[in-house]
Amino acid sequence: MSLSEKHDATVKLVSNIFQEAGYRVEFNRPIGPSNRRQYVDIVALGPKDALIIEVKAGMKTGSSDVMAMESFVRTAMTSSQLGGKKVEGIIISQGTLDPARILSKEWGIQVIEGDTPQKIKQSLQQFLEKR
Amino acid sequence: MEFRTEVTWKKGTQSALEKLREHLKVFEINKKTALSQFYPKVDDEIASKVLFAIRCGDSPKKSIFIFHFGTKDSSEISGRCPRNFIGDLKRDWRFLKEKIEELNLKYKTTHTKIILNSEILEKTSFSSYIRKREILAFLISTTGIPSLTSALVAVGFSWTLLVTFFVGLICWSVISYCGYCWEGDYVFK
Repeated sequence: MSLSEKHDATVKLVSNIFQEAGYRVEFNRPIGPSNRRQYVDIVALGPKDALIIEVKAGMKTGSSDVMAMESFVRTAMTSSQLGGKKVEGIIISQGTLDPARILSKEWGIQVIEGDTPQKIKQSLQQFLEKR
Repeated sequence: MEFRTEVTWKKGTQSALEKLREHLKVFEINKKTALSQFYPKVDDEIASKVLFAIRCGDSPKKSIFIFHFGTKDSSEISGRCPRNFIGDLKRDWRFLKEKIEELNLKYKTTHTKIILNSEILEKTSFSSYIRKREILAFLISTTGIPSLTSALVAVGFSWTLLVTFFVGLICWSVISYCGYCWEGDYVFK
């Protein structure tokens, strides 16, 4: 399976899990002003919260990814479209680089590590149960 | 289009990054300005999470590189070229590598990736490169193989002929491989 196929399959898997948990899922949602607009893989909208989810297939989470996610979260928090919901960021990848681990803890960004659908599913379900 | 790499500094991350910052001072730019090229919203707190940012390179517009804080074992560098062109990014990273090497800092890069819209771009294989560039078709249709066949028909087999053909084939392979290393396309994998 190519990386882009793996990415798409993981996006589908993750969106199914969130839909089953009662979230409304939007794909490829634009975030940021028009001159610096970027797209996030999934935005899961719950009654009180919104989760921004990025899938990094075939790579480890780096500081850049954590910073990008924090930037998305801060942009989304000020956006009127999310109607004052609590916004959190989730990155799904096959591992985390050391500097990024520190940064994600500091900013409360959830990094789900897993290179198989089973592992990702299990970690996401654990994450949702804790909420 | 982004470039990212994890760097393991053999003589310690902290001292290596400090030396590097001093060495690259002339290229240093405001962290917030640099980060705004990467992310949709950047405030002082986000900017405080990177060590320093530089704009340098050989490309017409020069890339921006961010040096992230490291741990004892490693640090990260991310880069972005304003023209969103992979050639620019490669040239500018080569320029930066030369600057790092001027300091004789021993390092190893791992986890090097080129990313477009959050997806990894990977180099095509050598075989798809030669297919795409039609190098093999060119060889078969215009030079080596027809020449060898006509020579075999005209003068018969000789070791000189065979050696000449194989020398040509090796030269062709080397030149094609150099071309692949230099300009081999990156695609989503």
